[in-house]
Amino acid sequence: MTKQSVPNYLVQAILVTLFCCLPLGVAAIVQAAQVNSKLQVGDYEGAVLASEQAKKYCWWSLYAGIAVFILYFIIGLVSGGT
Amino acid sequence: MSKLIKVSQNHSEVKNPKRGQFALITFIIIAASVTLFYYNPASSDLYPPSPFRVLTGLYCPGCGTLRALHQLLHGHLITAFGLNPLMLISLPFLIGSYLNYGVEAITGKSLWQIFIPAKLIWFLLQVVIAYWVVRNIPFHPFSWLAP
Repeated sequence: MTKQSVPNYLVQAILVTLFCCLPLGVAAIVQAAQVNSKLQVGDYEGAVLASEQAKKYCWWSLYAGIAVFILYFIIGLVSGGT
Repeated sequence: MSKLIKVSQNHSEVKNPKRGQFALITFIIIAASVTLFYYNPASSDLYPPSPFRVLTGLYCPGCGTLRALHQLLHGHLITAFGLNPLMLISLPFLIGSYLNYGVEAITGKSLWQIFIPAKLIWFLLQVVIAYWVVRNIPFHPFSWLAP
């Protein structure tokens, strides 16, 4: 068992917390911590599950950020603002 | 337990799919930097508002990030720090991890392999949440943390 083999997506979690500005980023950090917590006690399967969760939260957070951006763009176009 | 545990790793994979990803990330960073350099988020309509701020009227840990990056790109380090200190503190780590990713993508060997102790990540989480709360307290010295 190598500790390195399970990614915890911590960097991505911090990025979405800072840029997408949503609680999902915090949820992703929680999962990132879970990955390393579980690896430290040798729970490899638990770590893999937490890793998948972390990845999921990062993606959803990014999607939410992009959705807001597109929504803002459409509202801007409709209201005729520049 | 607070020491960083180094784990060595042998890289003997065939083709590295990380190269394309690294190129994409680099492209996004350059495009975002150019945009942020020329359009100040403090005065431009180009950027969407923070959804959390719009919905709740409160600041979140990410508030001020874009304005801070704009100031940073213009060399105004202190102003950038004032807009979002947590972002500025985390920036060296983010750049480090970007460089590490790039070196691994190109050469197949990473600069470092660090296992971050879980305790440190839990601590980071507490810092982020505390920061989130404290920067919304509307009087000195806490108000200094607001963007």
